[in-house]
Amino acid sequence: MPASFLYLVRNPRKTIPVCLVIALAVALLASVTILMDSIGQTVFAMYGYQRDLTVLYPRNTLYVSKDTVIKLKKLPDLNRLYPSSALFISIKTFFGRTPFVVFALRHKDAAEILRECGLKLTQGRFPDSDKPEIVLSRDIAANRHLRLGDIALSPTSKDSYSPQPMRLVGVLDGPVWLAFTSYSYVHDNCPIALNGFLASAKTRSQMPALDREIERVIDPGKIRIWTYKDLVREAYNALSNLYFFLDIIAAIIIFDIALLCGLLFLIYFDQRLSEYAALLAMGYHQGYIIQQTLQETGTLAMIGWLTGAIVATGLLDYLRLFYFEPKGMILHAFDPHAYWYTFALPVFIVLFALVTISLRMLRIDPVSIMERRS
Amino acid sequence: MNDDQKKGLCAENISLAYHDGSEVTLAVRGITLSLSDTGFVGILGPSGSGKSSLLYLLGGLKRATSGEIYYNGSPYSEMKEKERLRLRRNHYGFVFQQPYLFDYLTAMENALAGTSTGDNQALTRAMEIFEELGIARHAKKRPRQLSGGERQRVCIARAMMNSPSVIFADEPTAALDRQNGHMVMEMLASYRDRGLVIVVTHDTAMLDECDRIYRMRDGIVQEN
Repeated sequence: MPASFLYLVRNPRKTIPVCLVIALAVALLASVTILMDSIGQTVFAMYGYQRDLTVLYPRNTLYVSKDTVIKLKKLPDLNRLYPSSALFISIKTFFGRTPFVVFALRHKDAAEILRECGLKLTQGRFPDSDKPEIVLSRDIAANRHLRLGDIALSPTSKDSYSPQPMRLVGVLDGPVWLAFTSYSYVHDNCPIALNGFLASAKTRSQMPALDREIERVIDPGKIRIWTYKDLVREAYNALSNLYFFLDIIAAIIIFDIALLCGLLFLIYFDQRLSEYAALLAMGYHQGYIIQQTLQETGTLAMIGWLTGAIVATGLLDYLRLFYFEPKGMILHAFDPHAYWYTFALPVFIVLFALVTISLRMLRIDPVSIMERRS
Repeated sequence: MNDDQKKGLCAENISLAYHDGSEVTLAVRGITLSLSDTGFVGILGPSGSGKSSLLYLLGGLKRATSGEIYYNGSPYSEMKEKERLRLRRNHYGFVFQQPYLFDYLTAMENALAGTSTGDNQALTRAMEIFEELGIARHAKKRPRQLSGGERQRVCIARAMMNSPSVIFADEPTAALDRQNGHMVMEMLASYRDRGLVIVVTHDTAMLDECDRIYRMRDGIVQEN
């Protein structure tokens, strides 16, 4: 084993505290970053259906005009235009309760939309026509603690309203969230429900072109549209400020820890001056000694980083299992982006050590140390 | 000094000045000496006489203010830093007053720290030296588990590891009692047939075995 590793292994009282400081900082930064990333991931899972469907609803009226429908049907990239009404179910998110749209769809349209969005009905069945029944993605059902047969929407609910108690009859599995009910039931029982459309392109790659075409032909004063492009922009705008704050906090933590560890390494270096002086006297080059010291520093920083990453992954996986998944929220405990983000910490520690130790090394005169005769 | 005289280790009119502000102190004043390839040489003198400075100059740890030092005809002043380091690493061995050992390494690992390779050959050689110096049973002990004399012997072992042409010892017995001091000197003296050993001391009693003694006073040397 090289002498530099022997130093680490045989000086646990010096190396373990440094390692723990680095590990804690990495665990903290990685956890915060992963939790932040989970917001975006949850948003894109919740509204990810917009990647395959553009939502159009009328403004100041209950129906989209026939002229507009004719214009829409002529669009070259349009595949299907699905008639749809909307109810809302309330779900719990990081920012409190949020309404999530429940599309009222015809039976055959619902089957087509599930196929386009990569969803499968894995439990129960589709809603019967004219009946207050609902199908939810598994995450939405988990978020609301609903099982098949439970009432999801009700006439007395403040934020999940339906004219009659609406029971959960089917559960969907897939990459995005979706909730739908019977088109005819909503049409017959909710006279003031908005009647809009869901538009799909022939392929997912044609969706941006279709969105541009729709925006060109509709009057935004009469039709409100929700596109994937808007979702991405809104999510980016909302999260960019949070990421900016995170960057500042991360920079401060990284600077502080790098400074702290760098100073500790310098103290340890000073405690070993006689060792380095002996090596210099024996004919070892300063560069060799700096390289050995940096090897020790780098190894310790990497062990600290790995420990921190393992701690963060374990902790977040526990959170995912017992807190996030039961609420239908997404959390990737092993998020490579977050760990790359924290990689700056060992890099800065080694850089700081390189600069301070090199400067110190250049001033070492082995003879003066040997002659101290302490 | 002719070319023949420049074989081995020799110094030609070397001086060493220390500057303290505008004050200049000459630690070594125009010393000329020529040392053979083998033998046991003592440099004796009171504290501040410049004997350690002379040793560090000869060992290439300090640069002479004036004059020249030659090793096998090569002048130090013309050597690049890398060549001086290589000379110290491959041809010279050092023993200092304090046993500067790495406290996290065993006695054997400390001895091996002086070698550029840690292979089995080096290990065998280190074991032979430990046997020779009577510290083989301490090979796996850490420095803090050894007595002062044993630590100094580990330093001698480290200095001998590369079979150096010259061993420089600066007051190697100063931190030891008389019995241990004599033992260390005997061990250094035992190397006299394989190379040159130069020992600096202020204690005349430690130089019984020397082939040659240089007495120093005020930076000037006189052969005894």
